[in-house]
Amino acid sequence: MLSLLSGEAAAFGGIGTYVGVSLRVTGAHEVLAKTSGKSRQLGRGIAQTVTLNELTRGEHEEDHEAHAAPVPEQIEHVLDEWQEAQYAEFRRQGDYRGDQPRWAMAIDLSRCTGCSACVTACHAENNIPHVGPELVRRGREMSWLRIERYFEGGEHGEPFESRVAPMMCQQCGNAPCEPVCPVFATYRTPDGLNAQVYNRCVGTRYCSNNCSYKVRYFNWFDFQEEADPFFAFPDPLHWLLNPDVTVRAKGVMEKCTFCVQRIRGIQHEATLADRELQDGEVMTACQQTCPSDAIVFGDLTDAESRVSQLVRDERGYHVLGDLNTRPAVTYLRKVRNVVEA
Amino acid sequence: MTDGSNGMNRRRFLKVLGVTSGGAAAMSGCTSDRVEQLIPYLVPPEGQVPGIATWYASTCRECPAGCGIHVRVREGRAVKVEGNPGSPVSEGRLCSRGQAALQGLYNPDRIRQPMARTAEGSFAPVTWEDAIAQVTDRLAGAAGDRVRFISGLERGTFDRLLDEWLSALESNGRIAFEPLAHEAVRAASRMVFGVDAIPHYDFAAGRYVLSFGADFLETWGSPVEQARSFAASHGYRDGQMGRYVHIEPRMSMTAMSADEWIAPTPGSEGLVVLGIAHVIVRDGLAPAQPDLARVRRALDGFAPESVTGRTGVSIDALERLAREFTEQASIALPGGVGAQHAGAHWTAAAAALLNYVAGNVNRTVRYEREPGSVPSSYAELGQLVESMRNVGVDVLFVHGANPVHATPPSLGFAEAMRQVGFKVSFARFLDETASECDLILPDHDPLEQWSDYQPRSGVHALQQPVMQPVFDTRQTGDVLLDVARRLGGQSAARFSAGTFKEYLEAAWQQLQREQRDRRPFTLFWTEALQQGGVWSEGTTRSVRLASTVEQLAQAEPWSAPQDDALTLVAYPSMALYDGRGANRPWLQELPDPVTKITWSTWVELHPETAAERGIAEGDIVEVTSAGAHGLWPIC
Repeated sequence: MLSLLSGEAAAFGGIGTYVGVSLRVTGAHEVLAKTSGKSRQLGRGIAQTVTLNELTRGEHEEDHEAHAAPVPEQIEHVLDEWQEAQYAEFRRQGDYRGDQPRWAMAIDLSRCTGCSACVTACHAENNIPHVGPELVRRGREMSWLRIERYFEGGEHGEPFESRVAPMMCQQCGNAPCEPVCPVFATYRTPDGLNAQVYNRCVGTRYCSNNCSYKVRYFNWFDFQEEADPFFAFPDPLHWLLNPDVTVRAKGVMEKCTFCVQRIRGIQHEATLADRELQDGEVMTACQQTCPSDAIVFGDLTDAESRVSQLVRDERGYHVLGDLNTRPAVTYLRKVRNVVEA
Repeated sequence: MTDGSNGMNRRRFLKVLGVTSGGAAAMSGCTSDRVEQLIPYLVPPEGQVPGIATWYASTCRECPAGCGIHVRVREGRAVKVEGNPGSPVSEGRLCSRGQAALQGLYNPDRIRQPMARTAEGSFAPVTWEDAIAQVTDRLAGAAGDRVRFISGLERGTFDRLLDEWLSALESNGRIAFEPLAHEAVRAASRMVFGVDAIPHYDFAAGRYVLSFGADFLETWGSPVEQARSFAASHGYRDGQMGRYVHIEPRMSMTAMSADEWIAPTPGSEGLVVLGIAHVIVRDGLAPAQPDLARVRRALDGFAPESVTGRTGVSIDALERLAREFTEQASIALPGGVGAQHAGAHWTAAAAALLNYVAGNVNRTVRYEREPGSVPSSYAELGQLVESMRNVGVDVLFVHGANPVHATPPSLGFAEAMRQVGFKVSFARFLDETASECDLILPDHDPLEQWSDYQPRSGVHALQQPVMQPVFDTRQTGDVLLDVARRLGGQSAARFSAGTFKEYLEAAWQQLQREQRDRRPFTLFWTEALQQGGVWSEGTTRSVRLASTVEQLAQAEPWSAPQDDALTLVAYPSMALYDGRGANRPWLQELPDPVTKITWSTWVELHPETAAERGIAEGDIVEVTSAGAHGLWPIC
């Protein structure tokens, strides 16, 4: 692009970066290696906003049209009962001890800028391979965390608005991916994580098919094998692999783990030191790097933890919450400080 | 930060080791070719437990912001880079470019040993001994004033070494080339306040941000620090939040965070600023500043009625923005490189004046004493090109810069370089400039070297090697000292330090004296290494309106040439910066925050313009300017 600019320095001694140009359509076409699907939310309410005035007036109606048919009230009750019964059963059998934490995340969209530092941090922490433009075009990127970007308005002179929302595995309390796995490779851990057991996975991809958030990623290739056409770690690039995280092989499904290696590492440290975990001690890689401190991670069973407080915030909502997936990730609506006409 | 995360910081702090001499070497692995074992040593160094990570504090050098980092090292290998919670710049956070620093360190395309050009024109490996002897011979035979050096923007001891080294050769010809040097903002500071500086903007205090094209969350200034402070003041909390209005023809990632986005006619941003400043002075919206008569003379011709037509921004909007701007602590930001049209210094000067009339100077906008050398302007690089073209340069050194790539081809940098008798590059990668050189003496990666950096006044950040070098590279400071020693005469007499680390320690002994710290130096040094540096309050300089501010009365908007249908705005990429991140796969695969495109370059077009011309996404268009043309797909 620099070739179009003038080599002459502008009056202030720098390069002028605006230049008059003309366009010619060549007739050629290229499929862009893009990761966005729709640019519009189509009423799904994934990235929700509220104006500052609405908030101060106490108006927090849902910011989207519920697209599912209205659910009869008793269904909610029946599901609650069913979950309680399941939980009681697990506790009776000893699988779910009462003193386990319930890991959760809150993402404040009024702080998130879409800068994507979390995405790169996640690659670095979790040994996620890069796949190259060809696989991105086929929708086969491996990034466990993506920033969804939507545009609103802008038609017929309406104000134009952009929204972003980081999207990773929502670690659902009622996960659609779990019951469809024929080999129990994905299951719910006692501390509320939706775990993926790589060496059980046989690659049916049913879980990905059933996931409402499209956050499961399948290894179509052996990215760590030199002979593979999509080999991603030429020597010495593999030196950056995190020794605490498995490098996954072809045929295996993977997804965000809430940085389970960090959780376990710090839990072990605390056990060795014979002390309790502190709130804020476990930080996921995305949270750790976030320049605007939009991501908060912690234990929901501690009512005073920072994440518990944020989850109770009036701006909190669950993405596609009407599917009753009961996500562990709560989003806090973006607040727009707009001038009302 | 909550109490919880402070606990985290303390725990992390205790884990950060200070490395005293030789410590890092003892901790580390071997070079790529030799490593065969899972744990790369037979007798483990004391204190090193397999499976337990070691953390080193250092400084990120992926862009000029200079964020403090902690590097996680496992069994002698760096495996993760994170922000240093103690650093006043990063406060524990980091951007994508900083995270991807590891892919620079372990990049397979790194130059693995010194290389010299052969008679056939290709590069072949040479030994360090031969390479340094070649440099010494060439320098011994060259007149000092025909030796030139292009460095990147260095702000620390290496900067001083370069100056001393060159002055010992009796050359004063160094260009500190930073492609994103923001010359327009400097020119504006000179015009309005008579100082050559880029001010420091306090985003945490500025509750109202008015940006005239500054991509302050992407490449402009210190993005991590700014994002953190911006989120603190603009993020919603207990019924309160700041307001942010972005005025730029292009929708950038930064603009996506704006509460209101105003797209004026391209090039007319400066008039919008002056219109707002005019209203503030006309209506007395802010307490009057000194030199009001001078301000009035500068602003007289910019009543909203006269600028509205040329900018496409309504009178109502201008008056409303003026009111909003003076209602709370505010900041007006001059544009970044993406808004740097030929009249950008007018826009930046207008923004500086707007801050002045609103009473923001010394409150949310501070002019500090900038440490180290001021980056050279693009125009100064142009003078060097002229000199090279006229065979005025015999030896050229290039370190930390890639001017062949980062300047428009019409400048003719590569052709001019070919007129230079002997060109030496210290590049880590065979980039466009290194490929034009005769000798390549690859530098260590910033994660493998000793150095320091002063991102801004009062912040002295240290860099330390976090592991043994991956390849047979050498720190450029050491190479320069070696060359000086071999040259003998005044070059050798100038330097008592044998290695750059000794030179650095001497500089830090001086710093310790300046800070009136009377402890033994080893204590000061070890503590600085553990913390990642030494921080103190910056020194603010008070500024007064200069008489040249009246030049603003002649401010002219930039406008596209009449016969060209469209205006192209070239802007730096959030992930790839000026292109220096282009060899990091993580950054290539990181979707652009606005378009979500990976792995390529594209042209954005307004949907209505595209529809008028029958252009759809992915269509490849030929873009032609006066100088050149090229093909890109449409987004």
